[in-house]
Amino acid sequence: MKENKVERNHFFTVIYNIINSYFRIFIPMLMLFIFKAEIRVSEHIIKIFIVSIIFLIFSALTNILKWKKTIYYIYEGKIYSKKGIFFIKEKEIQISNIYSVDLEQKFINRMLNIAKIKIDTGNSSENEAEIELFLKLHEAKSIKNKLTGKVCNEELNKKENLKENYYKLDKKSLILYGLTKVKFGIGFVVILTVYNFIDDYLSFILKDELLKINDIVNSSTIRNYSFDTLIKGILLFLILYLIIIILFSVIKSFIKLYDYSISRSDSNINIKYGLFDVKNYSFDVEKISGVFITQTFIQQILNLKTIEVEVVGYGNEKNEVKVLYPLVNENKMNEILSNILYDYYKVNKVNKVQNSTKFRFIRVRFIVGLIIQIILFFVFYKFNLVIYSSVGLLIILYMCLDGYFEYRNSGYYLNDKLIVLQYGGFKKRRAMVLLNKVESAMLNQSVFQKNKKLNDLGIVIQGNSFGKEIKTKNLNEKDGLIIFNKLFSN
Amino acid sequence: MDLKFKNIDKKAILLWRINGLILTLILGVISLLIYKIFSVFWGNIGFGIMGITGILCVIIHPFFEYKQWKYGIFEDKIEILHGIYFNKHIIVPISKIQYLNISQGPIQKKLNLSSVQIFTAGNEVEIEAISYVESKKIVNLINDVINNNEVAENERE
Repeated sequence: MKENKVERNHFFTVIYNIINSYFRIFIPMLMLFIFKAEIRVSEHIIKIFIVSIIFLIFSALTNILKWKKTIYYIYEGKIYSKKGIFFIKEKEIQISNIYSVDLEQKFINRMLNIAKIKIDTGNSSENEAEIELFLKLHEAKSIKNKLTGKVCNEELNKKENLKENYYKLDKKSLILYGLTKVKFGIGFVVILTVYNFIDDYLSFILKDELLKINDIVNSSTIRNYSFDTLIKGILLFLILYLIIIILFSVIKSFIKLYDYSISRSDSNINIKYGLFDVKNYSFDVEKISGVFITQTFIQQILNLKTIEVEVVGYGNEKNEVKVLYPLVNENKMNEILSNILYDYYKVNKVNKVQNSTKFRFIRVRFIVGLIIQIILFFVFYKFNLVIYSSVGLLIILYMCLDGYFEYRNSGYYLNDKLIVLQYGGFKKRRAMVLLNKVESAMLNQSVFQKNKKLNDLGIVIQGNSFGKEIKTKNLNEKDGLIIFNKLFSN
Repeated sequence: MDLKFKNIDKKAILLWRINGLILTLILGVISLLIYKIFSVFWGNIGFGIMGITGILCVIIHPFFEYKQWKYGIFEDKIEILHGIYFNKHIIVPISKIQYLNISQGPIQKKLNLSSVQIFTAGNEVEIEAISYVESKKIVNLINDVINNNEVAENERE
């Protein structure tokens, strides 16, 4: 590609946008209109057809114009882009300022060999990529290589570093990852969606069955069933519920993270994953503002971990993850850290918070739980006091356990390069941040903590969400102060 | 190096009292609406919250908040101390500052006050309620420090 040639998106984007706007905008509006005005479709089919054609022509014209007006080129170490019909947006980005370059292929793009390339700078104020282009795959790859300043021959690099710097997740681990990431709340969403779907579309077919279910659900008829059947019913429901959420979680992670691989060449980290929508990210190690080792509750029991990274532009969109490696045990984690992220060497021991703070962690949660209870009481006391009090007890128990686990997990570690803060109850997190990546720090002390000589230590790093604080609670006042003063002493 | 924490402008107390009063009035209007339209019970609770907010935000808080608020601009960092129930101590190294903002609301303008917002790549820190002249001074000072640091760095290279 010549350096100064003006380039455009692939023409397929025009067709894609036309079809997309037809189905996403025109059809729903038409449906709404038909329902509101109670028109019979069969009588007005020609009119609908004509309106459709007009919409398509209009949409084609605007999209072609848009395509024509969207240009980009690379020159003198900068990438220039311009887009917009009425409001023109021009952007010029220094290549050295680029934080991450991502390639993404949706299923349909893969068949046409087209890729979306996303270019991000360190700006976290906008929630989307700075520049987005649709190009032929090989063009996108060559631009990516140009922007990340890497030698073109990816294959060669891979072979050279195959043993040390290349990791691939096998299918077994992927399924295990899905199992450990089960979210218990998601089942309700799935069931509700399925129920609504049945209610809306299949109700006339399944009318009798639904009535039966309604009978069972109706509390006045519950008394007619024996205690045994009731318990059996609840157990059956719980088992079904578990199966649904486990299946959902496994399938979701399988589709999302299929064929997960990570490699490092020079200072670039390359990540690739996806079954239908293949995503390919690369970013400079220098741009990582923090590494997180996260553990869900199940992972804590099985002693498995997920490595995540905070890089502006990585994992900032819907359906994207911040994962660096989905599932590792202790040894694998140390291996990956020492081969791929050698600045973040392993930390064997973190300093735990004092024993005496145990009840402080629990007490705070207990009070929060109690407040939720009091609010819920006013809403529910008319309906059913038994359900209210049992749910209430469960919530308070959950909160207290969360507090206890947070006490067990909280800790910190500091050396001359790195600060490590550990926090979180059911969801444990260990944040590892290089000292020169800390943007600002804060030390908080509540009135109650003052008596016990404790404080909370928080640091802020650059990330996809602005103003997010990493915080370990209830440190010893002295330790907190020592770390706080050391943070910016060099 | 000027190793001293400074207090903010004394007019801050007045500013916070006015803000508290506005908040109380808004709560009052909302409570009245709830009282009239939805339920007497929740309306009364609303009035209760309004009363507590009024006492705290208009009468008690501003005075203590003023006593707690301190800021210091040092050679390599900015430090801020504030908070009544939660004492907050914030450090922002000057090398991490991306840009500065001076902002002034309508009430602040009347009282000749302004606040300085300090932006890093990760978050925003605010020095509240200082006189406009003072905030200009702060911005210039920080700019000088940043420039000096840059010059020093270039020389080193």
